[in-house]
Amino acid sequence: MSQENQGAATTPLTGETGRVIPFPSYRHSRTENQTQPDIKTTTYIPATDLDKRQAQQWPSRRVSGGKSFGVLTPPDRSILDLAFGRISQALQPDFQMAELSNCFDEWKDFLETASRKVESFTSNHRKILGTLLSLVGNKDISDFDIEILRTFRDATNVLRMPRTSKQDARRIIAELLKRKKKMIMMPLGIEESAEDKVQVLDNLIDRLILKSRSDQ
Amino acid sequence: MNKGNYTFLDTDLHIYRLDFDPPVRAAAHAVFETNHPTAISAFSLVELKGNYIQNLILLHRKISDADSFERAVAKIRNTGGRRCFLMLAQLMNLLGGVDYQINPWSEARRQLLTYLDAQIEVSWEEFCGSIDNIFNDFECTRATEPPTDDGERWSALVPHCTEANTKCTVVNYMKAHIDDLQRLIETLAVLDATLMTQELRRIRDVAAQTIKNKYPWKGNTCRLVGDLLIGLQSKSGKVLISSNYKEHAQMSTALGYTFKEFPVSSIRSK
Repeated sequence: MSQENQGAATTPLTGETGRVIPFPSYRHSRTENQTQPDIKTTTYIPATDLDKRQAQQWPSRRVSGGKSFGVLTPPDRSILDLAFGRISQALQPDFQMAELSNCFDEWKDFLETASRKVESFTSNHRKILGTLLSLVGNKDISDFDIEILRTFRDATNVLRMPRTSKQDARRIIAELLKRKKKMIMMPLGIEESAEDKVQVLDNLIDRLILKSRSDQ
Repeated sequence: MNKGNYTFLDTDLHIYRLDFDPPVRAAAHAVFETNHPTAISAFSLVELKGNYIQNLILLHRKISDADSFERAVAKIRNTGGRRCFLMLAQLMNLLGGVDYQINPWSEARRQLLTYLDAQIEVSWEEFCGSIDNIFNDFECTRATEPPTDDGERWSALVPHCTEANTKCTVVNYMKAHIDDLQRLIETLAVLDATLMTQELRRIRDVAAQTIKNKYPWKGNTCRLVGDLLIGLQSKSGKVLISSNYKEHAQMSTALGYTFKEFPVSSIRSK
């Protein structure tokens, strides 16, 4: 069985049963399911059909598009499975340094790809993924200790769940922040500090606009 | 818990921790690290929502709605002003600058929203988690409401109060400090006109109306006299650190709290 396909409840890589977050068939979130039917027993309109119906009445360009039953779809999930496999391998104690590092870098690549390609993410998925990307940035595996790598693995595991609750997102983000290195936070106050930097940023946006026009 | 041991940090210290200028950022971080136990007034959370998180939410909304990067930039510039525009520019810079893969827009938009969702969620956690305690003596429930999202849109709205809102705990809190307010009015009455700022004038007016048992709190009065609320809350602590010298230098004497300036102008690199 490949690493990617192994269930999250099994932990062959570290032998740490209980540290990996289990992967239930569906989730009950006290807050989120209050207005949602039990998906095991109730016939409901699939999110995709709902979107089509809504689109006829209320055109919207919103990316995450009001998917009342937003669930990570299988094709999208495969990217996250791959990411989970790589970060799990990056924790293998018997791997060579180069291999561990490559696994970590590939994990980052998969997360990056997921942030651009995965259409079925809910906002809770995006919160976790964005936090991971903001924490990892251009860093290498050597910038992180084993504990935070395990937290990255757990976070990636939550990311591949079809549904992620607000509580899941909060818990994972709190865990990541607790073990954080430096996280990218958007700065303020630039106008008061560096006029030349402001000019550079103005030019950057101009150039990106030009670049974006080539796609239209 | 002895409140008297706490160093209160003004809202601006949190903002300076995110300053673009490295010396300012480092100095603000040092204040947080070297003054334990630290605290903020819960009212600072209201200001943070208004001054920082609202900007992030605007970026999120405009990027989400725009069908091209150019349109997103225009929407952000026109509706969010220069500050929001520069926040977007800095985000693009952090993500790779001119090398950022802006095409196809649908993918870039997805990625930008991923970062923004995380920024909004994390910034609230960061603000709350970066200090040792949050004091909310005026029991304002609005202050402690985190930004919310419905899975698609964020909101960090601080609703305007109406005259019908007679149960506002801030009003009761102010009434419990009538003597302080009276002293403040007397101090401000003899203040040199060159030292009188617009905020001090507003604070004086609100204090005077509160003493007369009028109701000056409808609308967004709280937001306009934030320094007064933070100053009153800081009375219970050891010291208040803030860069708002003009206001706190005057109010601290009248209200009876110790004020220490964070000298941002001299720290800022030229």
